[in-house]
Amino acid sequence: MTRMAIAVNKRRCVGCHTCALSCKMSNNVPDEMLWNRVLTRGADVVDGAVGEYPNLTREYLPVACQHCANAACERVCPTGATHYDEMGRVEIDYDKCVGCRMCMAACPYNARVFNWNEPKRSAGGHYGEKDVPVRPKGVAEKCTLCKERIARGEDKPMCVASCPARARTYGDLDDPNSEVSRLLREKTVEHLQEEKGTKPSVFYYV
Amino acid sequence: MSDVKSTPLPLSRRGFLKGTGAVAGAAACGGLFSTAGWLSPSKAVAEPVEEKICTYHQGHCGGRCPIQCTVRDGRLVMIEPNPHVTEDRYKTMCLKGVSELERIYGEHRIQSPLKRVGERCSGEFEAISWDQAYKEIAEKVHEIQGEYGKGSIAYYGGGECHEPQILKDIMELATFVSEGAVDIGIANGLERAYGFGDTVAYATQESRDWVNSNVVLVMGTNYLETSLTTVRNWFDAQDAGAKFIVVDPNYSTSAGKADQWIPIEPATDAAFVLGMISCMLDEELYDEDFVRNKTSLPFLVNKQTGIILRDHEAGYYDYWVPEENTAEGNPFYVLKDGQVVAFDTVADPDLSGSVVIDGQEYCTQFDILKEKQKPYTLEWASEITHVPAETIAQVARDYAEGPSAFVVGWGGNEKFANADIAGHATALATALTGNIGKPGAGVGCYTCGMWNGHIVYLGAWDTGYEPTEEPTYVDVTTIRTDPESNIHGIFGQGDFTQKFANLALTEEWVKDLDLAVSMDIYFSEATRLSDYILPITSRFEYDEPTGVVTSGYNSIIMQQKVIDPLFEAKTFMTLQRELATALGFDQAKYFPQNNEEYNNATFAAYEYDPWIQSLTHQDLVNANAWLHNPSTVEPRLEFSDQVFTTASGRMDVYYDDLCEVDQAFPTWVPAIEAYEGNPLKETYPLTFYNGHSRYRIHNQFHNAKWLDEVFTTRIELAPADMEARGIKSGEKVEVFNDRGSFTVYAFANPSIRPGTTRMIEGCASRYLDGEGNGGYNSVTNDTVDPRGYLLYSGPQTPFSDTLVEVRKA
Repeated sequence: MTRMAIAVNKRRCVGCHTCALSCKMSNNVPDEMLWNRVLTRGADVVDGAVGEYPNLTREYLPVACQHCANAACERVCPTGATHYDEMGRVEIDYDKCVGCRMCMAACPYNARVFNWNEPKRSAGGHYGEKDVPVRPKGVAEKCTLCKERIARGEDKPMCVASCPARARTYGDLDDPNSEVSRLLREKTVEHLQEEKGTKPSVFYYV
Repeated sequence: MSDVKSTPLPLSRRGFLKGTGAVAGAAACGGLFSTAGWLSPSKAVAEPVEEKICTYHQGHCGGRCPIQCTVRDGRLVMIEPNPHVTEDRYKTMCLKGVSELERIYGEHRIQSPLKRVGERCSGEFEAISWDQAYKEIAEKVHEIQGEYGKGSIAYYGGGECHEPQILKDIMELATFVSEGAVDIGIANGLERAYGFGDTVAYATQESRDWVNSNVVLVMGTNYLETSLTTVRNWFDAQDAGAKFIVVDPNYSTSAGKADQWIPIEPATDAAFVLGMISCMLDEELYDEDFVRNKTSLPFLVNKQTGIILRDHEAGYYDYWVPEENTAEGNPFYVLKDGQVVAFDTVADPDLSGSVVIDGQEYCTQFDILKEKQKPYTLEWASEITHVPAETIAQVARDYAEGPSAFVVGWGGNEKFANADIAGHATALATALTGNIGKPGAGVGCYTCGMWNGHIVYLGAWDTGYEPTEEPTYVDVTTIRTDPESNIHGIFGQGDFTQKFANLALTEEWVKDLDLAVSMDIYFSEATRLSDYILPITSRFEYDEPTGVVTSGYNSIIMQQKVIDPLFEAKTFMTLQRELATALGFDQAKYFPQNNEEYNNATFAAYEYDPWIQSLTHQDLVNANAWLHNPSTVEPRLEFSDQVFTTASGRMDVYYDDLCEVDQAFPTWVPAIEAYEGNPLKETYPLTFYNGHSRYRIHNQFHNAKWLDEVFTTRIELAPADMEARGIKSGEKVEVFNDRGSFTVYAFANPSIRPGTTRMIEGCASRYLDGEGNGGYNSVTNDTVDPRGYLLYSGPQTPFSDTLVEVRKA
């Protein structure tokens, strides 16, 4: 079996949003949509903090599709558009997506965005990987773990490759010798909203 | 599931039904859809023409990231770290680089030459042709220079465009001295103590070496935002056991990742360090061997005059020590067992002692220091900085233990009028502890790869032009107000207004000029003030195969043409050649024929490094625009031989040329406006801190739409300060003081020190809230502390030494 995942080092993440924008670029994500967001955890403003000055803490949390092993979105999709692929990734077949957005209601991570209108690109044209499908109005979209980029032969998704702090690791959780498996074993690990039972493949560690 | 690999664009159910719509959208979508695809499904769409071009991105952040650009059907579609780079640490890029994909095509590009039609500064323009622009500008230039002389037009060259600035030399325009009163504040007090830093206090140590540090003391810099491409070095050092102490009024990103954050009252860094010094003296935490043998502290000084005892009078301090003032030409003197001897004839001279020579009393610098430091107790420092005395003592002990790095920056206290005092105190702390020139130790500004690695300035082009007049120099701090000024025009490549605080005065000055020309990629504050605006290309656009070479992070890098010039923009080189022609010059005499010629010449002229001198333009082309400098495998560490580039060869920490302002050793001076207890705080209670961040580079990127998706331009205040003013987070506010005002959106952020505000520097008024009610420089402080004119680089502009009030707009 294969189960691709991303491990995020919370200590190293400096909240720069390079992953958010390089993902947008690589996957041709339209205006005002992001597949990956960097949250300032617990704060109500970007680069905020928790607590009262000067007793403050801060943690940045990049959040995208968690590629859950027990994905709520996959379970509720009425057409089978959302499905698992051969690498254990949760993917969307845009042709089958009817835009019901049950997946968005079900996902506890707010990982999906929706093409409510004709997608706009103020860049004036398409960008990113050549093989990434252009999504039409009326479909949901989300992190694909850069499946086209990986299929082309790159060894890691764009967010992992572009992180200036080298805070991300990509690999196969079903391979006990992979770096992500080692991190999962050795580090103090957090899965987001573990209690929801979605079994996210993405994990965070210090 | 459709197999997306077999067709570049999936010919799907939706695609088929919406075929017409796709075709109609072809023009807007850069030609990726075509009727051919719809009509012949067996070959879905013509395979797009794709190229990958290696170049480098930005100069002004110091990242100089080597990148690979993908161009598809003539459009820039992807930016990635250059895969040909051999070391992972040089494979970098950041969110700003990525945002260029939209930005260069965006609505804020200057698309054609523009001529002012309204009042100056009103921002009303009409599009004109290049020919008309050149003709009219040339006429005006001849008129002004004919009447007032060549140097009556000033030139400002900014950071976004990296092409060589040649025309200004042929036009004999007036140029600004030093760095134009920025980035030289702390350096003024720090650099001369050891003689390294190019007037902006580049660090003596590469941050890769922090893995050897015991303590990294970070004061007045937000390294994890402003040095984004080298943040790995911070974390690697923490992994290796280095303790990071961040001293900052705000809970910055760096403060949030530090082992210890010390909140401090703005512009009191000098007091903090003076408190540390007292602790180090009292507890004898200084490195005695280093102090005796590697610093000027044992040197004898005339107690009455404060002048250092030399063989003969040294004359005025100069960074470049003339022969007659070096240690050999003009020795210093120390005491050894009470006897006066030349300093380089003994080891371990006395740290303390007095002697009478020719009826004058002399003692050691160390004696003077101990006396000078008496009032600067930990309790005194605590009162000024609002940091507990015990914390200052703890930092002093940690730092003194060593090896320690002392990391200062170009933001923070740098932008207040007392920055040089902080710099001097930092030099003293370094000298007392010997935290320089050994693994794990260093001092200065460590920001970003290019300036923290092996710094190289490749040569300027020799135009062969014979000047007809003496060169004219102008000073940022006086050009607008000097009644004797002979400046009647300005040419700005980039936003020249950003060099000046107090925008109203800048506008007044420009209104009095006869000509203002802006050459820029994007609309800025300066373009609004100009008579003519000439569009130049972004760093991705060229009209020949390559751009020029430059120094990168431990490397030599080159720009290559990624796409053709957009709109009617021209490369700066082409513009310069054409304007030179319009002015009546035979441009072929003075300009390189092309960038290849320029590159070969600039390498050949670089005598300081045989490896660089042997390089050719073709070498860079063959190497995919990035060549690792072979002498930079190990982290850079200056002064490992502990011989300093000073008059004495030691750390010269006593500045006797500053006796007249009592700054031979640092005397505490508060901020010039934003100081505690200023009665002005009754009216304008908030410090207006404007600094650097990950989202911008000076005045650049305020107009990048993709960056807006993660962060919008704003002023930030402490929640209590917002509440007290009845302002909700996200509401529009007016920020004002006696100098002017502007409107912007305000957000409450608990990270901000109460009583202060935080904004990112450089934002042109058009990017604030779209309404153009003043720019952030409308409020900034342009007061010059006269002490600045005694310092090597002159005074710096205290942009953040500014008090404001904020109210709902």
